[in-house]
Parts: sequence; structure tokens; C-alpha cells
Amino acid sequence: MKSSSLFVEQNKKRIAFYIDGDLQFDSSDEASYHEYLVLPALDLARRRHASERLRVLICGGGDGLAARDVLRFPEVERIDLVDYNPEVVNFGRTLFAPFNKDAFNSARVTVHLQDACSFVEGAAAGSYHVVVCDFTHPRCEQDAAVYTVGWFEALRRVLVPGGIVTTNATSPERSPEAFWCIHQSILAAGLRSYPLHREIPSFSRAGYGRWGFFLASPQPFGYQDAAAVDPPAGYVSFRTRDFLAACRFPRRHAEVRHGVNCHLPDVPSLCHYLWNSERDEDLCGCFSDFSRDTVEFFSAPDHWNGLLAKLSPGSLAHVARGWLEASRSGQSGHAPNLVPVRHPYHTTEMTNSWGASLPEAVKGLDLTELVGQMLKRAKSLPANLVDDLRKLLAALQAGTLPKELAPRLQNILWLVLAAVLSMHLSHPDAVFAKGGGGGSSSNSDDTAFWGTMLAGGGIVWLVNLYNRNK
Amino acid sequence: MNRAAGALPACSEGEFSISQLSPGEAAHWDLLAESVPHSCFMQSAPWASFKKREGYRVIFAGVRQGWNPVGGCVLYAYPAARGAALFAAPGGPLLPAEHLAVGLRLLTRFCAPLAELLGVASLRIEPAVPLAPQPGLLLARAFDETGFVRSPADILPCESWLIDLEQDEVELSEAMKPKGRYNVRVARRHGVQVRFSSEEADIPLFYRIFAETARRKRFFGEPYAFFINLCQTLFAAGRAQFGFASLDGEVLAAIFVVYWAGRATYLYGGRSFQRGEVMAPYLLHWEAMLNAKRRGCRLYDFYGYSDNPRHSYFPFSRFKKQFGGYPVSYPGAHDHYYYGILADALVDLLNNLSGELA
Repeated sequence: MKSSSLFVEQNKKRIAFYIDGDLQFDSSDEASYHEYLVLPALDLARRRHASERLRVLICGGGDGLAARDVLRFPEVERIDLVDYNPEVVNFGRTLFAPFNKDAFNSARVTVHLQDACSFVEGAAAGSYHVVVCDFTHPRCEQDAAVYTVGWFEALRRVLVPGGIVTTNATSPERSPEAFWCIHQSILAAGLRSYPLHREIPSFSRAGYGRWGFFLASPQPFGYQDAAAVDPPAGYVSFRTRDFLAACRFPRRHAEVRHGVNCHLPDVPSLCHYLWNSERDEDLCGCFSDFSRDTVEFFSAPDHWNGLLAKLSPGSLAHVARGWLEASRSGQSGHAPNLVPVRHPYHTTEMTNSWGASLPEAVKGLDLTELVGQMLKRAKSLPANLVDDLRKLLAALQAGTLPKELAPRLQNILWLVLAAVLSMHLSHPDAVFAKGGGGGSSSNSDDTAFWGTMLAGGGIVWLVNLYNRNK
Repeated sequence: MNRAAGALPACSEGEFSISQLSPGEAAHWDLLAESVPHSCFMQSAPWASFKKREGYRVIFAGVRQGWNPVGGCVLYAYPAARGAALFAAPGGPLLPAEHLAVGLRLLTRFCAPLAELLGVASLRIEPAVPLAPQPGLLLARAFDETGFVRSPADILPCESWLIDLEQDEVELSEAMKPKGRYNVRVARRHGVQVRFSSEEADIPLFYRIFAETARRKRFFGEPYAFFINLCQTLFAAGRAQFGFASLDGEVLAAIFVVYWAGRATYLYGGRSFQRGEVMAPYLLHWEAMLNAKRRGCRLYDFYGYSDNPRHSYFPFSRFKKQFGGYPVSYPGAHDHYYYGILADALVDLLNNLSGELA
């Protein structure tokens, strides 16, 4: 299990808690987040299971704030809270106790210091009426495991019939594709999905944008269920009319859901969508005025779009395919996709700026050695590709690459470029490089560079560079 | 340092050997690492702890002559890479000049099985050895012999600006350019106050100034999370401090200084764009130099310098030169490719996309 860094900003007025540098809550407005995460699910559950005492599982949430809001419901008999991080739970018992109303001292709460996935795996089928997922925002593929189809299937198994999952998500404003990717993953797991969005001022100040949540259940809800949500007194921020507004999405934004993949462990998509959202900038503004053309999913339940990608977005093969397509069309098209971001610290501007370093990266390569090594491993390749590699090796050994290369050889060289660039960018620190063989660390017009590369100039450039170097 | 029972096979050449250090041995690494000439903080155990928090895999490799430890290297690999990845040893390897060639040969051999295991296609080294004529030639020859080529990117700046702290305070002041000395006095006259801190509570204060500077100067700044991890690990190890220059309670300039091997390195900083006339950064760096001297440092490293007007360091460099001192150049990052690993990745790719290559 990876270790996390915890950081508390504290002054006389407020307290703010960070895990791995990401804001978890700010006491000035945390109610807005936790009440929207917890209250609708619990209220819907107590109506649906009116004759039963409710059992609730909270995954994550070691700060105790979600538990506080679950405890508002007298119908709740038992809460199992599972969080792998003892330091966070310790804060929940001590520093945060005034904020969570000492939730961990309630006889109804049992804390399990364990990984949520293994806890759920070990739980009996039909154990819980509600599962509340209050996880940290994913920073790597490993973190994103709690948004896979498999995870939502596992949650469905531990729910009683008609049980409810509520999960925090990501910002629909800052990363629409990632948000709808979670929606598709919930649907692909056989659950109905009901997305929500909410303005949380401290999140907006931190640059996270409007925040998103999902309600999910194997049995559908109707609009009348949503309209009847009316939690017990004592809450701070929740209003039923605001909740109904939170369920509505600008139609243009919601259309994105039709084209995104669900998130699977062997074909992960979520992190790529999270880190490569800049092309969605035109969608960011659509939350400011969307009163007329909206959709909500209580009245019109949604269905899984059925998309199953073979290549994970952001994988080397996916990137290389993008390069091949762009070189064929002669246009840079969606430039950000050509050098995808693979680390939460990076931006598309940073990764694209690596174009300036590509000549130096290629200069340092011994292409003859590389192609020779490829031929040694070429048994699995189709015969025509092996022939191509032999021709390429012969040209390299002769010392000059012909200016007119056959299209397939050109494509092989594109793949070499993509693989080399991908390797250099695999080291996150390299993206903050202080200069190097390639020159300075200044920002340049990278769109122009990639435009020239892809508008037919790329392979000629590579051939000239290689021959000149020789 | 005892011989490690690490998972990776040791390599040897004549009386020299290299092996992975066990966690117990790595705990003593700093004693050796700080004693090797031209050591770099990125090769220290506290920096390694910081990078571990950032999700890197860290490997300590020790080089011995017979049984005597003579140097080694801290290697960093980021595991989340898709496709071929790379090892980086920023500021490393740490080797005495006379053992550099054999050390590099051993290092490339030592990393080969690990590269295969982790899908690493390149080993990037970046020794912080100044390019004075003699070591420069030695380095170039050693790089050539071991198949290292100039990397497209440096993690460390390959030129920097140093202040010799072995001078006394009067000499340091006299070595400054008149304008620099004058601006220090201007800041004092305005009542600018300087303080140093290794309190986590100051992280937001520092980051506000840093982020504002990055935004205005349009450079790629690391995010808040990075500074939380950096400060929490380096402060706990007693290896770093913030410096703040304030006027009337408002912070006008902030720096983050790392202390390692007798050198104080100004790693990050920024300034408010308010009250520029009070010259707060001048007094801040002057006090930081004196503070470093009190801590026993022999050098103050301004970390990054360029005389090239097209380089992004150029505008900052004019400021740094006001403090006296001298420039220093390093060989920069160099890569040794493991072509078999890169070829594996490419053959996989050809298999995946063979239908789309026609």
C-alpha cells in the first residue's frame, strides 16, 4: 500500500486538510460536499427500505465527516468505515473530532483499518443498504481502481436488493470525459447511474472546478423519488431544490458520455481522461448558464454505451496510432492527444513543449543498433514488416537514409519517434527539465512544431537529421 | 557499508564491484555520499525519501574498491510509465574522478537486468562535476567509452552561479556588484525583515509567492502537492529551509534552500509583484548566504544560470550576478540506451498496429 502525505492548514477561522497535496476538505464549506455525498443516498434508502434498520459501509472517509452525516439518520443501525490510512483515522478521532461531531465514538460506528477493495471482497453478499465511497482523487492508475467496472460490480454484490451506492467523482467542469467515464463504468457494472454536480467554493478556489458525485443503484429511481428527498434536520447546506438542480446537466455536456470508454483494469481510461481534459475547455463554461437545454437521469434513465476499447487511451499503442492517423491526414488535429499527459503534475502545454527536445532525442539514438535489435525479436512480426526492417537496416548500415521512403517504412519511423518521446516523458521530472542538449527550458510555440511535423515534414526532417548527423 | 544481500546481482571488474544496498546500508549512505567530491543533494537519502513519496522507485547502488566503499548512485524510476521507461540519477553517480570510468562501466552492467525487469530503456546520469578542463576531458572520455550520449533534457541546470562562502562577511559584500550592494542597503533602509523557517505551517505562504511568480513569469511550476512532500521530508531531515523577506507583515519574497555537502542551493523561489522598489529579494539572498555560512556551508549555489539571452534563465541570471561569485558548467545529462528493451517495446507496437502500417 502506498504511503500518503498528510497536511493540515490551520488558522483561527478554519482548517483545511490535504492528502498528497489534494484538498480533502475545508471546514468553511465541507458541509456542502459531505451533505450532497451522503444525505440523498441515505434519505432514498430509508424510504426504499422503510421497515428495515440500515447498514451502511463507508469506504475511505477516515476524516469522519461522511460518518457524521450518516449518523444524522436514526434509521441507521450500523456503520462500517473502512480506511487503509491509520494516520487519517487518527486525525478523525482527534484533530477533526470537533468537525465530525466525534463520530468515531458512536457505538454505531466500527472502523476497519483495511484496504476498501479487500474489505468489500471479503464482505458477504447483500450486507449493506448503502455504500458511501469517499476516496481521494486518483493520482495514478492504482488509485483509480475504485472507479473500475469491477469495483462497481463488487459494490453491487454487497448491496441488499435495491441498495444504493453514492460516490464522489471528479469535476465535470474540469474533466468532462473523466466524469462521464465513471458514469459509463457504473452503468457497465449493471447499476443505474444518477450524476450530480455541485459548486464547492474551496474546491473552486483550489482550481478543481465544480465537483461531481454519483448515486447508483441496481433498481431505478424516478423523478418523484428525487423530488421527495428531505433529510432529517440538522444539516447545514442541503436544499431539496438545489439537489434537483444538481441533477441537471447541460445537454451539450452530457452528450460527451456517448463517446467515452468505461474504466477497466486491463484497459484503463480514467487517468488519461483526467489528465488530458484541456480540449474540453469549451465545455467548462457551459455550467454558468444552462437553464434551458438540460438533461437529468431520474426521469430518463441512461444505459451503458457499450464501448469497449481495445487500446487504453494514453498507452504507447494508442499514442502511436494517433501519430499515424495525424501523419496520414497531414494535420495535427487534436494536438493535445499527440503527446498525452501521464502524470497529475503535468499539463498538455508541458508535454507538447517536448517537441523542442525531439531532435536531440533522435540524434542520440543509434538507429542501426535499434533496428538490428528489433530484427532479432522479429519472429512474431508479419513477413512484410520483417522485410521492411531488413531494408531499413541495410540503408542505415550503408550510412544514408533515402529521402523517398516507402509509406510503411515511414510509418515504422513514426512509431520509433513515438516510442522514444514516450520513453523520455515517462520520467515525470524530465517534463520540468532545466534545458539540456535540446536547448532551453523556455516555453515555445509547440503547436507550430507539431503542425510542421505532421504536415508531411516529419519523416523528411528525421531523414535529414539522421543523414546530417552521420 | 557491508556487501548487500540485495535482490539484484552484483557486478565486479578487477578490484571494483557494484551492488544494491540493503535498507540498513542505505541508512548510512549519506555519510559516504556527502564525502564524495561534487556531491549533489538529489543523491541524498532525504531526497530519495521525497521521491519515494512522489511515487518513484528508488535504488541505492554502492561501488566498492575491494571492501572499501568509494561511491555509488541513487537511481530513480517512475513505475507508472506505459511503454519503455528510464532510470535517472540526477547529480549522480557519485564517484571520485579516478574511478569514474570503471564506475560507469559497472553501473551500466548493474542496471541491465533491472532495466529488463522494469522495462527501462535508458539510464540517465547527470554528474554534478564542474567542467573544469581536466575533469571535462575525463568525463567526455568515460561517457564515450561506456556508450553515454548527450540527453535531450537535464534535470539539473547544466550551468549555475556560485558564491564562495569561505570569504568573511566584508569580503562577500565587497565581491558584490555595486548595484547589488546598494539594493541590499535599500531593502534594509525600507525596513525589510528576513526570517528563516523549517515549519510546515509556512508551506502555504511560500507556495502562494512561488505560484504567483510561475504564473507571471510563465515557467512550469511544480504543484502544491510537490512542495508538501518536498518540505515534509527535507525539513524533517534538517536539510532545507524557507527564507521569507517581509515588509509591514506582508511577504514580498520567498526562497527554498537545500543544504547538502557544504553547499546551500537556492532551489525554488519567487517574489511578490508588490513593492518592487524595496528590493526585498536582494536582502533575502544576502541573508540566506550569511545564514548558510553560519550553518557551515562553503558555497551558495544560485542553481541555474545562462549568458544566452534566448535562455529562460537569462533574466534571472542578471540578478544572480549582482551577488559576485562565478559561473560553473556541468556536463549535463547523458543517456545510455538499452536497445533491446526499446526494441521489445517497438516490436510489441508493430504487432499491435501491423494492420495500420500499410
